[in-house]
Amino acid sequence: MAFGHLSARELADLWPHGPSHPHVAGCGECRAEYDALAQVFLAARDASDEADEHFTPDRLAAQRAHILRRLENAERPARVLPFPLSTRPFPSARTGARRWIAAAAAAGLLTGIIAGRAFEFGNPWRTTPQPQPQKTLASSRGRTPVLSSGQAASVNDERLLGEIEAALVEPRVDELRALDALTPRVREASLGR
Amino acid sequence: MTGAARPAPIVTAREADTNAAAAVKALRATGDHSAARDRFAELVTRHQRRASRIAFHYLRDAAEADEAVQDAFVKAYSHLGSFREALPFEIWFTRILINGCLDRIKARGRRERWIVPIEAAAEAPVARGLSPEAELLSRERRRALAAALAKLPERQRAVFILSQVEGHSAREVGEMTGLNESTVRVHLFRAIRRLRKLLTEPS
Repeated sequence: MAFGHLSARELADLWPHGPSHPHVAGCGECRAEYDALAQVFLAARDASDEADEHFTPDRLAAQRAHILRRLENAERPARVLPFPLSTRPFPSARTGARRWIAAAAAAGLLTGIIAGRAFEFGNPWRTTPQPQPQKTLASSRGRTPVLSSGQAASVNDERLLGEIEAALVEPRVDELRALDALTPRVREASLGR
Repeated sequence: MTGAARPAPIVTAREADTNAAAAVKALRATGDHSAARDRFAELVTRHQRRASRIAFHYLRDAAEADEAVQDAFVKAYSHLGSFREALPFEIWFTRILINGCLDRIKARGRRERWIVPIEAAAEAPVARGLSPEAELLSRERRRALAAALAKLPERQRAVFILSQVEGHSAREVGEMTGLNESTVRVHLFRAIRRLRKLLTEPS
């Protein structure tokens, strides 16, 4: 600012009586600068009025009541929920259901085990492994004796072992199969067939 | 002059605040919380309007300013034990309030990073008996000032609001903000100069 004019700070200090200041009244440049600064102060004053418009006496009364209520609540001793006197936990629907599921699973398992045992030791229909491969092997050789129904029922372990043995010792070379078919087997001979 | 009654001692607002704060502290210490709250209500009544204005200038939202004021009073009450009578209650309380407002502004900034802002419906101001033109001009000035204030650095904004809007002296503003008096003056002048530029330049 040129010599003789008021500084911006001095002009700001004149608010709100700037226009009546002798220098500002007579100096166009300082007046213009003052008016520009005055816009800021006017806006600040308006802003203050705006806040007062929002915070009416009713609103302030409600605010005060709210503050006191909050203080009262903050000072109230904390509410202690009673701890269950019984050491037994409260049965809830969820834990009850869980318990039933566990019990059903355990019962199912137990029943399965018992039934399995019963089948193993006491079942009259229990059979040894059926001679399914036996038939196949015998028919492949074309000389399997026809078993009566009574004989078939009394298939014993020895016969099964014989069949296994036959399967194991059977020549795998096609040329020897015919010779093998002519030769009697030890086990068959011992059985008298 | 013999029969003249002695004039009652004049108690300034500041002294009244200090007395009330000391009484609240003493009552709380004795466990008389109800009486303590009643005395504290005096402080609330005396300072809530000014506090609401300050909070509103910071937050530009009446509902949020209301909450900030409530929080500040509740905090002041619960921390009254740390209040020292050497400092005026008003100054001590305003510090709490300003810190609360700044925290809210920061929280709002974080929120707005994630949430698409919804243009808040402008709250209709109560008619002040101004002509429609003057009302329009005033509203425009307020809007422009709010926008310009938002562009100021935090300290300049605080100093401007406290001194120009709330009318506190440089010394009081210094006590509230923790700045020394001359620094307050520098910040204030810079704020005014910047606002003048922002308000006069074409938008």
